[in-house]
Amino acid sequence: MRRILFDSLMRRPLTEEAPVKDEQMLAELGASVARVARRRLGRSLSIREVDAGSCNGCELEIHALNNAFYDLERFGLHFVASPRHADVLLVTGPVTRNMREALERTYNATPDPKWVVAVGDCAVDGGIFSGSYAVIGGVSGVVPVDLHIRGCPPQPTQLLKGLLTLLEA
Amino acid sequence: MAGASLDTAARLAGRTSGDSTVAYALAFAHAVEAAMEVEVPPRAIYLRALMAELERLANHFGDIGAICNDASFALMHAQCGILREKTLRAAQSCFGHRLMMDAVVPGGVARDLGPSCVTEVAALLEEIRHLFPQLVELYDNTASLQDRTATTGVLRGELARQFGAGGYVGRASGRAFDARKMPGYAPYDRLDFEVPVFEAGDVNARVWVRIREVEQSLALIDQISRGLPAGAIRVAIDPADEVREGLGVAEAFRGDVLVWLRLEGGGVARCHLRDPSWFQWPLLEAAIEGNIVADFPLCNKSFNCSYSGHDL
Repeated sequence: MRRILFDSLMRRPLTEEAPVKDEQMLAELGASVARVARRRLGRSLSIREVDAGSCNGCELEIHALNNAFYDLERFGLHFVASPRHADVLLVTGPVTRNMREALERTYNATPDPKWVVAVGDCAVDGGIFSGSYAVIGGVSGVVPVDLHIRGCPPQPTQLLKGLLTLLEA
Repeated sequence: MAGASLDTAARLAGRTSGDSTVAYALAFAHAVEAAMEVEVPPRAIYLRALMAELERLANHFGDIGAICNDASFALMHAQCGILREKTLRAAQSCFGHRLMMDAVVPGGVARDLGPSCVTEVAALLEEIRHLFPQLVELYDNTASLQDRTATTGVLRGELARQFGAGGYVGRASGRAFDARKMPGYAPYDRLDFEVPVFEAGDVNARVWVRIREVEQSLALIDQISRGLPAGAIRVAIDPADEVREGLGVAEAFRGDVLVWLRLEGGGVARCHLRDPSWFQWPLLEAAIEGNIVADFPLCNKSFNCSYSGHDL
């Protein structure tokens, strides 16, 4: 263990440069984020991940945000285990009938001010699963959405870009 | 999926459980090819196996790290996370997608390798071969970690056999089944590899199955890179109007994925995708019996059953 720790000390960090913020996402967001909230929360944001029925592909890439290459916490963003502690809900998947109520209750359990970020193509409108008897559709049909991050699944850099955009808005 | 075209159905199959997208797309393709009695070009068969083994590597790295993380051993998690990320990046550069979604299609594969890919994969293997043995040594020599994984969450071999559990859950409890060997499919019949089996059935054994499988996958990728045939990567499949049925299987990192389908009128009439987790979730309940609450995350992570693949 000491050898690995020592090697890590001597190596250059793997962590990548912060991506620039996405202007298109910023425009989508501009309308929905109040400046007051920004001042009240400062930079630090707590994120609660909600899987509303995804294939878990998006979760894999969200998990990757915590690895040494993307290191989400350096931006003051971190994942929490309860919506009660969250400022941001990161929602993935088409919303399935079984998860609709859970998503609504999670939203209601999150204290104001709060933002909802819908992650992945399915979260936009149900994506490839839309029309299924088990699926309601996109996240915005159930709770208000402030930002969409598209992709199937979006790459960690795209997720990072979206979240930083949220932070800067 | 009922009524979907072959293309859409293949994309849906690849999104049954995102972590096993290659295995699902492969099992689905096997089923379609069985139904239509189609021969897939040899190059495509090898490329499929390359993707399947990269997927297995990425997931096993993720799991080994995550299991140790649940015992608060963050160093392993961070180091395994680096190996996982590097594997995904190699997949991105070779197949155009980090998880290799939609790369396996009925009739072959969607994209061929770029010219630099064989060297890139070789570089990835070299890096893994340099770092991974150190991590294995670390796992094996850390008593506080072993204390958490050894004799924890024991699944009896008898139960594993009774439920027909595949993957690391079965193989850590003495059940040697691996779909790549039995019934077996190309190109694994031409490749040399072993199926590691342990008898203890505890969290530790499930970690060791993964460790040994990483080593086997590395050896397999070597053989695949060396033996990669030239030629076409896809044959066109024209679903006829007649009714056809097919059954396909593929070994995902967590066990055997089985797909049955009926083709009718140029599309998929009915389809069933059976995740390996169907035979593993019930066993988790048996494995946690008598364990302390703090060990539940370890037991759960060592099973790593699919949520989306199971609750369709």
